[in-house]
Amino acid sequence: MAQSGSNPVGVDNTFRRKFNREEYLERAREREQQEEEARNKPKGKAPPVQRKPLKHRDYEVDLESRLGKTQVVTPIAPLSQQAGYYCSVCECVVKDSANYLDHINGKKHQRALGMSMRVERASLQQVQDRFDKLKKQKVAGSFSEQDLDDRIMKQQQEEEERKRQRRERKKEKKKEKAPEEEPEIDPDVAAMMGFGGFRSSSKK
Amino acid sequence: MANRTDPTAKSIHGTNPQNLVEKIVRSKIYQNTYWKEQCFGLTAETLVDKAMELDHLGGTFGGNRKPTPFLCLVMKMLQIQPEKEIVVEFIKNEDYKYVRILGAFYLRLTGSVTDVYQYLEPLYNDYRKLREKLSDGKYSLTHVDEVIDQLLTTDYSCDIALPRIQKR
Repeated sequence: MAQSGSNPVGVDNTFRRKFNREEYLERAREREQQEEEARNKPKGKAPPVQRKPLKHRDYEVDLESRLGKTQVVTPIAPLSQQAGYYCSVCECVVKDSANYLDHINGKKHQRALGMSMRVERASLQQVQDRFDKLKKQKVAGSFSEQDLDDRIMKQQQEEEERKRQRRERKKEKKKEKAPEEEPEIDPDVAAMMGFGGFRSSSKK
Repeated sequence: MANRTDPTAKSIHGTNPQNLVEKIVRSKIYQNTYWKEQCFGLTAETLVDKAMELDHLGGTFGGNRKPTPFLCLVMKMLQIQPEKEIVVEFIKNEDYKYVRILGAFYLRLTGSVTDVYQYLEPLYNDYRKLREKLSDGKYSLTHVDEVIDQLLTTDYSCDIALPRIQKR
């Protein structure tokens, strides 16, 4: 109290921090405006990509086609000819079958294929339809009298076809051989020597 | 991850359904080739195909405790958690005994006690033969009703500890 008396009037004598109300009001307005703009504008991040649900592989994974084969591997060979399993989607080589399966089941690979890791839920109706379909397939694939006859007929036809082809091939061979054999052995000489041209010329 | 439970799946017996299979067996399943190759991305619909191809049941076998395809498919069902109606459809089908056993096993693992008795007891009338793979890799002959009896009266089957159910 004594201090306030000694100070001149009109001079700020408190230790409290003072705020320039105008300036901060201005700032607040600016910020509000920015926020408004940000809200109206679409988000900076790209919209989330709609990925298809995970799909079951309907083909067998080829793990054994190169089993037991020998292959020269050079470091300069393209990736697809290097040792190991090559994934053409991700362009990488995986060293063994377990890791390859892990890779093609993995997130990165599935993402490259455009699939999320979520599995679609099947409904009861779908399951029932599946049951019916598979049962019908099974019935169709079963064995019957008619089926047997058909199969025998088919087999016979194939057999005949094969025989016919073999005969034709033989004929062609004979035709090819005939002209080159004839001029080589003179029939008279052959008769004199006591053989009738059975031997081929290569035996001489 | 490919081995994640369906995010919409409800927890069963107070836990993640996949935890019903104990940890060691579970990891054996995850590293099994059949699991990785055939069971990837299955839905309840495509699971039907695989279930129809089954020709034996059993838990794990051999020196390194390899899981059978049956066990892999049980695991897959725990993972995708098909609706109860679908499981009942599995049990009701007459033509495929292994599909029936698969459904029954899954219901025994996850269903309520009343459901288990309601749907499994009628299967006592099914006397068809089944092949079971023993832990040494050899097969033995059993029957559908025997397996159902095992499910209803014991607490351990196919290397899976079954949840407790009240006695009839």
